[in-house]
Amino acid sequence: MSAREEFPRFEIASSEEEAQEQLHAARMTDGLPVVVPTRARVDAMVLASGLDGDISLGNVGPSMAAATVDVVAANAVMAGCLPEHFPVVVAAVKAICDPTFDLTETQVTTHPITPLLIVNGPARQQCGLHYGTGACGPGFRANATIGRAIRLVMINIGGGIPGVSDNATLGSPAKYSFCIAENEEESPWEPLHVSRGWREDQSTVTALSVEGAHSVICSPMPDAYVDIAVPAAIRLISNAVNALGSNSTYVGKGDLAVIINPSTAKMLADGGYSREKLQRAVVEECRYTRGFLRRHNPLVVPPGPDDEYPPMRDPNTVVIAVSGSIGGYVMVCPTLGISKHHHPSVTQEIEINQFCEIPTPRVQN
Amino acid sequence: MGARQDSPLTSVRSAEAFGVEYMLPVGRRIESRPYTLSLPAGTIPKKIGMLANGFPDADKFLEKLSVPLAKLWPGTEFRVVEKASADQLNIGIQEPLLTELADECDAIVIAWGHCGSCTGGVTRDAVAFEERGIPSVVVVCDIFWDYFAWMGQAMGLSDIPRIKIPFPLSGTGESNQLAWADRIAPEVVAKLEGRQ
Repeated sequence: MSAREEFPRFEIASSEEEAQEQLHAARMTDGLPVVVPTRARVDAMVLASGLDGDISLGNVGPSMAAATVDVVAANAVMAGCLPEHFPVVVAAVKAICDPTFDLTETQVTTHPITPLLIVNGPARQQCGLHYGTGACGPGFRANATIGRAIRLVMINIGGGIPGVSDNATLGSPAKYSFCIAENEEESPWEPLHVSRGWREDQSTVTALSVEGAHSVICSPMPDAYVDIAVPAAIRLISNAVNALGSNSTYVGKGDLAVIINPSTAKMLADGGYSREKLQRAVVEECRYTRGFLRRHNPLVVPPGPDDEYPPMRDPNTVVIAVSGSIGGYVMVCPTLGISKHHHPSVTQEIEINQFCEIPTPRVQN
Repeated sequence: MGARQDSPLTSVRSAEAFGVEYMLPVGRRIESRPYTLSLPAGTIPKKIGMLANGFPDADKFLEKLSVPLAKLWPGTEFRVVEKASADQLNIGIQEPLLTELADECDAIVIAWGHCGSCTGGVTRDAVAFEERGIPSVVVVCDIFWDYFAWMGQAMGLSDIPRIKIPFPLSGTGESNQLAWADRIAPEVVAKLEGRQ
């Protein structure tokens, strides 16, 4: 592809059905049907950002192609986003293009990591994001399409085409779409973005490269059993965070996610655990020695004295969000941790109310 | 018929008649330049850097590869060095090692592209040395062969010299690795001299 070519580029098809087939044949989809990104649909999406179409939001690894607003909008249209979802997509693209995010390493590895998006603030309601029962999906359009738009951006702009430059051995269902919102209203703790220095009235998206969600049973118990249930929950979450099959266990680095349902979060809070205290407890509860880990995986643990291995992870690398509804399950998403910056999470503000008037497309082609 | 003309199907047929114009969802990429570096023909290099990327056995394989290379290049010194620990095998070579090797070596042999992450890292290594004017050749497993070429182009450098090995070679034992070192040594010389 020459730098002298005009961008964005357009294609002609005889029908929407043929356009679909052309996009599939060119490997510009995730394998599912897409909404054809006609000029009118893309224009409406660009207007929703309040930005000019030719502004670059960053460079998407590994191709490092420019994520201009218009081309990102085309991917959002294909994903099925509505224009009111687009500000979240714009912020998420900025987050994953942050050079410290190590997106190239996320894209090219044989490991199945993928960006998890956690949305906070008023944008959750304004963009129609769901954070109750089934928060990790399926079934909710804003969550599903925003997450899908990021995957399509990674495929089409970043060049992360499975089997070409996305080398994930088995892939992951989480790679289709992985976008949640925090259930701030039912959380006993301050919202995630406030804990990271943002104001409550600001909206943000936090992106982190993680595996799909692993379920952990942490049944909330009546008060009489809290003395048993709270330490049990911490042990179980910690063991999932430090699972012996997870890459990040052997590295001790990389931001990973713990998604806690509101009732378990309340139980932990009633037991005296703030978010920060819980982060510390999760990393302190489950620690290994070199000899123990070498018995499990001698290839990746170098020989040496039988000291603690790896060094205890920074508690701030455990990103805790409250989402979902009442129940006994917590989701843990380990990470890879192998990259220049060890896959940190990146939080980016969502600029809502920046849009120009969103017109209804006059024609649907 | 009148009712049917007002149906949604009618507008679909109209669109078909005029066609659908749509935006391709791809971004502008950087233009790649061809790889042109090689050792001067007919000269014996003084020193070759053998850069291991931290993947298991990469350093041991390069040690083995130095032996047949020394027979093909009598008098050449070989320096095997590991660029990073295993938790950073996907990043490119960092300073000060990059400058150190670029200053003291005539060419670099890089091993290996043995996983998705580390193949990206060895591509970065080759690009970094090319930018310093130092030719290199990268040892890449067959299953990451096409990806390595794609990655080089994405980084702006096409046709980076590479040598194919089977996947896996790591962990397949001393004798198998020795055999492969003997087998690819002539190709390493040919690639670095720009003869292939």
